[in-house]
Amino acid sequence: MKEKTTKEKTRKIPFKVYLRNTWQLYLMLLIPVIYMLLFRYKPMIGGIIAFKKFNVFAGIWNSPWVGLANFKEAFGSKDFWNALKNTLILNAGDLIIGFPIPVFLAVFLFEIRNIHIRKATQTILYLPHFLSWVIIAGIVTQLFSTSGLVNDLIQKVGFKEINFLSTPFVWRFVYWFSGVWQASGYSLIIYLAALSATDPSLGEAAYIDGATRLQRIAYVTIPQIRATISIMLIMQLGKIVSIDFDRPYMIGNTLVKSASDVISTYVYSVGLQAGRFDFATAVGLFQSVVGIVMILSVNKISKKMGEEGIM
Amino acid sequence: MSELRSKADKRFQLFWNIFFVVISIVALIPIIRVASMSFSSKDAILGGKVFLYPVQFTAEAYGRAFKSGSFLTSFLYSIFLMLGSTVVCLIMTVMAAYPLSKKNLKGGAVIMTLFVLTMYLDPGIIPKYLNVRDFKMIDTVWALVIPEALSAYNMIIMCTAFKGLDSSLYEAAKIDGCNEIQTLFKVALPLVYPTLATLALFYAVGRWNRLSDVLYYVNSSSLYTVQMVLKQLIESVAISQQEGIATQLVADNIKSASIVISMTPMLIAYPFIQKYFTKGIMLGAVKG
Amino acid sequence: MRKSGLLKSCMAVFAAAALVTGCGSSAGKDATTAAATTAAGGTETKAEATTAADKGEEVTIKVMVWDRGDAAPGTTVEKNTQTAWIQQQMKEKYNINVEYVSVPRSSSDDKLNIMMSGGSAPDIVFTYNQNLFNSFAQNGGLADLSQAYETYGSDIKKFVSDAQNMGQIDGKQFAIMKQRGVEAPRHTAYIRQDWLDKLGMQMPKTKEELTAYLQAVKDKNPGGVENVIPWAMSGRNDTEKGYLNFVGSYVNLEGDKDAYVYSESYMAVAPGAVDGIKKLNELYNKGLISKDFATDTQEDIYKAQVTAGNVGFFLDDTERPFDYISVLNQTAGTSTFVPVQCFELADGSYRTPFEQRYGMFVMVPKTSEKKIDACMKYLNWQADPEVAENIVYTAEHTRDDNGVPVKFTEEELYAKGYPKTCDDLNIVNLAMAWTTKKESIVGKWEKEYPAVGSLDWFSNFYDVRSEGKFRFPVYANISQAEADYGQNVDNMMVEYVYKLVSCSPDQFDSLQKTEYDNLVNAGLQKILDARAEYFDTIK
Repeated sequence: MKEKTTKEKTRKIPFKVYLRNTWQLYLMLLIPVIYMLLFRYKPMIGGIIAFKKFNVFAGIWNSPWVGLANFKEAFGSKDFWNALKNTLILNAGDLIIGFPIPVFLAVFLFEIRNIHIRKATQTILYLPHFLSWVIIAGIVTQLFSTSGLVNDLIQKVGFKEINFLSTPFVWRFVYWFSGVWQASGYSLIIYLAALSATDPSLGEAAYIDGATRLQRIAYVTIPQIRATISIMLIMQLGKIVSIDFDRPYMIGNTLVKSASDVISTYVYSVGLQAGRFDFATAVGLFQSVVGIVMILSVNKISKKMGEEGIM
Repeated sequence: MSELRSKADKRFQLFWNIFFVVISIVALIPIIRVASMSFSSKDAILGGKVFLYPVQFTAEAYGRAFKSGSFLTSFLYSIFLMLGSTVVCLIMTVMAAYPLSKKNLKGGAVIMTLFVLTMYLDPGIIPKYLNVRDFKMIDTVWALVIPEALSAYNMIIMCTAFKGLDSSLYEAAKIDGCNEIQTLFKVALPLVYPTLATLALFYAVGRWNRLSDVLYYVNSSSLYTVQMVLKQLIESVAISQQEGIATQLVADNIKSASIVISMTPMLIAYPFIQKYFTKGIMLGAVKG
Repeated sequence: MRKSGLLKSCMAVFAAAALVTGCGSSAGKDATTAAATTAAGGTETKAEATTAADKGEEVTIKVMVWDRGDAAPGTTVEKNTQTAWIQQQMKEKYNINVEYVSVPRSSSDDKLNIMMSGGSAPDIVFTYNQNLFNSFAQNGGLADLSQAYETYGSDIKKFVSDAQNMGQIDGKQFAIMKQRGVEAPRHTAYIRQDWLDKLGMQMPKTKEELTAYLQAVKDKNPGGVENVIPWAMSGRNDTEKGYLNFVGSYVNLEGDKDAYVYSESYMAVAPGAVDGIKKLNELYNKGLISKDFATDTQEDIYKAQVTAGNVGFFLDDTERPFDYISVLNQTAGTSTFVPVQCFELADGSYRTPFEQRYGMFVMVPKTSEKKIDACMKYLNWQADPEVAENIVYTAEHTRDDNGVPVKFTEEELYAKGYPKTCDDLNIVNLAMAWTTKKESIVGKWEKEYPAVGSLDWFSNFYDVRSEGKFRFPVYANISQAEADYGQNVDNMMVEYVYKLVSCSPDQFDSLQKTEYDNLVNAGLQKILDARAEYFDTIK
């Protein structure tokens, strides 16, 4: 995928000159690349335990080969497909519900002139990110239980109580909501940093041209951070088959397992708990492959659409 | 934005000000709850009496948390570790992001792809452990710094920031006789301060909260971060039932106190980092 | 790409850097093979463990120790007053240097797995997980202790022999078992005596009487509380404590074979258990069990309800409720909960599953084979109850009138540089002299939890909870099916019961079939068959 076609192709620079101009850049790249090879790619060699019956003592190399047996077991398991389905559904919800919210928050927060409120909001919204899911789950469980605060309010307004935590379908909304709570602050900071690096003169020009505030936001501000938004989107899309273990495990419970069991929790119960590292690695490899395919395709599509890609 | 203070503008400001205040309060609820629990008595919590304010106020939980083991030393050690590893991470990130942000760097796209793919490669804990062991880093502080020294995710963010700079600035620098390294320091870095500050925060928080590498790569308790110490304090008691050892339930207030303690360095550091966001706004105006 | 030349030079640079950073901290491994050879010669006089003949060549062994984050300030869990005492004893008696390697308690098994796979585990390691022990042994990761046990394990044989068969696989001793202390049932049911009194009802002795009580509690609310919960359950998904004894009482175990095949983990699918679950479903739908209990995965709501005094009955780990009852009694001002046995079997008797006599599996990794003898001497020394007592309570402890050791307070321990949980250094024998005497045990409880009850209360507790004492047969063998699927099926068993209890009555039968099929798909039948097969081969 070498991009040799730059706009300056008209003047072909001899390689020696090119190197003389750019050797420092390659030097800078050297250490990070070495790091990446030694600490990210080299361990991948150990990924072959996915194709073996891993004996902890024989080690990676002496354990016997079993070919695709681990993969067959996973793909033949009803639970695996259920977990995959849930992973996709939950991630899709996070994208549709959870992704736009920080963008809007950032954009409108940026409009506020009151510095105190701005700074305070920024700090406060980021705080839940420090809390582990154990804490957040504990609070969510209490809030949304049939005797909790939310149901109290619902009943006061005259409706029947809702079983938030015991109905798989409704539970998903609790899951998505808790994600917004915990993670908006994180993306918010990235968008704010991007906004603060934008050129204000464009917005002023629009204003002078008679645009209303909302028009300015829609047609100038948001496009100015388009690159950041599309990159964040691409990266999240690439992770569509992965969900961290903690969140569904802590927020879920036995009654909603049909919706809360995702690949990571599945791998934990069936693989890691039994010490079956080979099985766990096989499923992990599957996730890696899908993730890579996703990100390469999404990146390509994004570029075709004229947006920035990440590669 | 120098808009006239029209009525519409005032209404807009008022609405959104209130909106954000309300959101902040909602977002604060879990934190207030944790803080209240940390100042309540263990019995009050067991009885479910604590929701948003302390009941049977006591600071015993903090006393207990501070007394455990070498809390103070591990706390200081954890802070230094966090600062040191953040510096290492930032340097690595910039060293990778700056060259990769140049459109005409031959091989740049390939290297970038290689970096991006690392986000999806996870062979599991055993190969990673064996790798760290091969480099003889087990039970040294380096195992907590080097394996996670560069996050591709953060590097991409940095790269985007560099890409967003106007190329005419680089040309101007070249004309002035700067080589790449000088350009980086004199021109590029000062302009991406907000992003640098943001990533510093992310790396710092990441290091502060990360437990898995402390668990697997480190054996001596003197190398445990304060998060690990507190985690043991809280969780190990739940297990002793099985062992027939008569230890009391670790109070929920101690759990909460530990959480608050582990959040404090961030809370203290954050306002300082915020300064750089505002600086970024001012410097942005320099761009031509 | 053209980087190959660059690559070679940077590999060199990096290799150099790696060597430099490699100057790490871990102490060197000074193994001496001499210990193994002198062992054969110098042990004719086995009468006392501390004869000069047992003092071999100098050896250093590394022993695992759990870190619970409660070392005294200024000390670590590897280096403190207690470890110093042990090191001094071992050096004097056996010329063995002991070093400790700390492992975080809460992720101990994970860490152990990693250390074993990396070949860097200490010389003595341990776990409670039988699956883990089994997989290490079967895969050749453990040293065979049989010979060393014969030669140096005299005290172990004397004091802890009961449990040792669990550590044998194919006749070879691969682990030394730690023996538990006080004999205790797994779970105990508690009921509100004061509510029984108010209702004018007798202590229930059968499930029917219990149901009557529960209904009366719901209808009449003897405590006058806002949110009365006759029977409280939590949604903890890693234990069956909330229902096991109840459901188990519907199962008629024909003999040892059934008892072994189903054992505790699979009682809920044993013949007859379905009726028990159905009954629970009935109770739940009548509003007699906590609503939506299965969503309370961290037990917060359950704990709060019990301590707030809203609950009439519950089933829990045997001594865990002491904390809740303590709080409740103090706020209520009277005595509230008492233990009760009311889950009668078909013939009217009770079956109360007790803890097994063995606890931990203490093992020596194969990589430490050369130090087996030294390790065995260390373990043997700890088997003596007197020594065990000194380790758990420190060598400076005193005993009260009942002969029960008095535990130092946290302040006292810290002041002297002892960690709060010295128990972790005691890995062989918890059965000290006082643990078999009812008086001592009762006295000890009363001292530690005065708010829960008087000596009489605890005496009654001791008696009631032991009625129907029963132990499931256990063997060291674990089938391949169980090793692969056991953990997952165990979790699914709890889910199975929770789901069935919480569903509506008309869905019960169909749901039961679907969920049972899920269990079978996850490997349940294979496990049960393997257990049955094994039982047949040894009988």
